[in-house]
Amino acid sequence: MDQEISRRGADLLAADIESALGFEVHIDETIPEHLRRLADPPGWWIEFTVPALNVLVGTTPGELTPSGVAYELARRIHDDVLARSGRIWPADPEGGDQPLLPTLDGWRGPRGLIPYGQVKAAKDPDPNLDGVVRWWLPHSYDGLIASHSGDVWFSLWQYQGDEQRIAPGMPVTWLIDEGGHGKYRKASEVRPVQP
Amino acid sequence: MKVCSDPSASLTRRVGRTLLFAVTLTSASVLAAGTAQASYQLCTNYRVTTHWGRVEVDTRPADGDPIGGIAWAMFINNIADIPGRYDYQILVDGRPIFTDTIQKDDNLHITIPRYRSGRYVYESGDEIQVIASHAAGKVLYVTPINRCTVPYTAG
Repeated sequence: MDQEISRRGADLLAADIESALGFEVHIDETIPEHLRRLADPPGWWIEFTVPALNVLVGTTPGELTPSGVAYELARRIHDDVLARSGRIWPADPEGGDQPLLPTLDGWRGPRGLIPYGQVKAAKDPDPNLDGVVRWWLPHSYDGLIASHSGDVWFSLWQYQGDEQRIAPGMPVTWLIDEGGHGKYRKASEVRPVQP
Repeated sequence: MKVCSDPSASLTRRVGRTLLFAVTLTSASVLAAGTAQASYQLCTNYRVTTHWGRVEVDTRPADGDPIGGIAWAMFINNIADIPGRYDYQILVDGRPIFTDTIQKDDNLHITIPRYRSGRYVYESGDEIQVIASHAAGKVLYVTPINRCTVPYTAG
């Protein structure tokens, strides 16, 4: 039963990626050999892969409903899908560059909810934004700064301030670090602009 | 294969088993020795530094719970070695609650929510440990022991 629920949840999330972004998703339920050799091997397994984005997560979902499983998987891969596709997914029907956020019940925005499996839209980032937080994912502490010289990715560990106050559109300053994440450069330090 | 583990960290029987899980992925061996700590630090601004990088752990509020989640991150100094597959287990009081694999192009950072499947998966006073492994070419990175205790109040 848990395996069946996990598969249904993974299928819901896969549909949201395939419909809105057009990328094929692979779901493999084979328990990896190295885990089968454990003293207490997992009872079931979901390997969720988006080859075009080099996204892979393997786990034993523990949530009790397909929607819950989709949530569990979505919060693990949301940042990677955003950073590697360069798009806003799922797009908020009300507009803006903050994607809808995964919850137990579906993708939630300020003014509504789209159940898992029913997402149809992603959008390109607004090129007019500059010097502000483009999006922030509170469930994984990942964010993107909009910049005319190229967007910059950051996470909780680079943020100098109270991350609970981070909101899309908030002005910030940043320093560039080595390396990158997906299509973006990484910040070594991000601070809110003092009013 | 070169194995990057923490030579100063202790290797209990329980952790040894789990390290073995990680290491069997790449058919390498791990050597570790040292003295066990009697008690663990709080998971509040907790940092473990090793010769190849560091692990950082902190509690964060979520959904009205002042300790709603634990933010856990592993940083490898050699940025060329960061991309690739990471295998990790999250243990609460020595019991695995998650066994996951993920493909990263940036450093591995995870959120450990306290509330899952309609219940709390850890409580204040519980011991949290994440054991992660990541192969980069011929180098196998294994996290140093990073046990910490969930605090009773947010830091």
